[in-house]
Amino acid sequence: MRSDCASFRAALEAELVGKASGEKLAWLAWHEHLLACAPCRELLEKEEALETLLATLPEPKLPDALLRRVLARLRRERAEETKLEGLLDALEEEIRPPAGLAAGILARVAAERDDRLDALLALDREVDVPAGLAGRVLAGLSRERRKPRRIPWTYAAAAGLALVLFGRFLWTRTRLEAPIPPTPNVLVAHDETPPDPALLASLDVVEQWDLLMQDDVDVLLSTLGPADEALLDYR
Amino acid sequence: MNLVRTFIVALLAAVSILGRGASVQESPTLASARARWERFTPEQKERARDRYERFLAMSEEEREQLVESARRLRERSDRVQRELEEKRDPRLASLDAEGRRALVREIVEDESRALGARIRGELPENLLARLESAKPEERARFFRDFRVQQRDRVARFAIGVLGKELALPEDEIRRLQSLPGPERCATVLDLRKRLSEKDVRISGLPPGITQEQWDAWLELPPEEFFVVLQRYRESRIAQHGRDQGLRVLADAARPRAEDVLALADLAPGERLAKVHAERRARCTEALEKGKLVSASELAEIERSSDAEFFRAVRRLLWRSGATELPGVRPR
Repeated sequence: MRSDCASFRAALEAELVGKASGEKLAWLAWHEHLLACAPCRELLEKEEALETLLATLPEPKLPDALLRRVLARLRRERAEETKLEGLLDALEEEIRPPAGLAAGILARVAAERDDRLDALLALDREVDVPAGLAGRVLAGLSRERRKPRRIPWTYAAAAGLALVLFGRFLWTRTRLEAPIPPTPNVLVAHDETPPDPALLASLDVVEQWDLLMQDDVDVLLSTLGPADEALLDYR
Repeated sequence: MNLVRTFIVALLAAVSILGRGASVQESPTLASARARWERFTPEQKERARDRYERFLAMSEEEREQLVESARRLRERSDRVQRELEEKRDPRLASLDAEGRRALVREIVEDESRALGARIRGELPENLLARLESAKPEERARFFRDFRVQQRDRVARFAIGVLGKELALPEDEIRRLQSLPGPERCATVLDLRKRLSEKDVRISGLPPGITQEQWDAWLELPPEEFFVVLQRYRESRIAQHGRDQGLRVLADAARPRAEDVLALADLAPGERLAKVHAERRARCTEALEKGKLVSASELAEIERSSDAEFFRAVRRLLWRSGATELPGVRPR
């Protein structure tokens, strides 16, 4: 890509950031670079076509019934906030929080909620939602909420049992199959300590230790296997 | 309902896990080791743990070789035990379990020294020097390195020699030479067995062997076939060596389990010293009467330790007694 291409495309990208429109892109059609660069002309045309297409799409809108329900729900929640305010007032009597703390918190919460509500209402234009969808969604949510908040102690008990059993299984496997433990010092702690399986697996070595470790190497040589011994004839 | 379902799931999981845990059985080898451990006295257990710690402190290569060597000694020990039990000797029956084990250990040690002395005669001098000057803990590693090198280089050469004698196609020889180390090593034994079979077809059975015996040997896997032929080769040297002197010496030097058994009532150290002294006297007499060495050489080996003395005798026997027999030629 040529350097002037890069410069043109940077300008195009700057216009596309945020809410682009056909008008905003129009001035770029007069960019000097386009006189000599077909690929960039083509790119601009594609972007303009895309913007035109996007402009023809309908704005999203909530159906009237859903809008009414949302507003009613918000009103109820605001009433609950009033109750919270009363509670905070009562508490204030008890613990004497800094003056205006509750009002500050409530104002902040309300402001944020209003902002969100405004954003939500701004979207309230024309979106086709299947009839009855909102009712089904709210009914489903309502059923979920009505379910008793059950602490799943049965699951916890089952998980605990499974953990204990799994731990026992792992311990058994480790005891039987562990090859060579990295910390052998445990072995010499008490004479009556059960032997480590890895020690038992190496018991041949331990029992033949004197033979294998003596100064005379003949016993070690005698352990050369038949196949290795056969190879000696070819050295 | 959910509660019931949860318990059923938990129960199934528990049964499954317990079932798996119960199915983890000790291997026969481990069970046998545990039984041996249970027989140890507290002092023996303490010593075993001490040795095990030293074993753990070794390198992986050293441990690998020691495990391999100890396994072979254990197999030898099991065989000696079986052979002794088959003899049903009353002297053996009179010994307690520990006494019998001590007897087996001595016979195994004796046999192992004899076998080791023979193998020593076939090893390159530089390897021997290296092994003998190394610390006991390091020897296992040098020994293993030697085996690995043999399996790599010498096995390829051996396959080339044997393959040509068996008239194998060049491609097949190259394929066998490129097998992984342990398989390549096993291939050498397989080719040797096939060569022995071919030799016998051409030259007839080895002396003293019937067709039935030979057929039974051919049924053995290559490794066992090799061991049987080595024993046969040694027995032929003892019975039909090039001259009478060598045959007498071979018989005098042969480790005999019966010698050890005859002295079963003695303490282990005393018994071993007596067995060695008697064998040494027999060998010295055979060397002298058979005029197998010069007077000065005889005087020199008489001054040496038991180990050096028997090693010299073994080397003499193996090198001078090798005979060309159908089916048992080394190459």
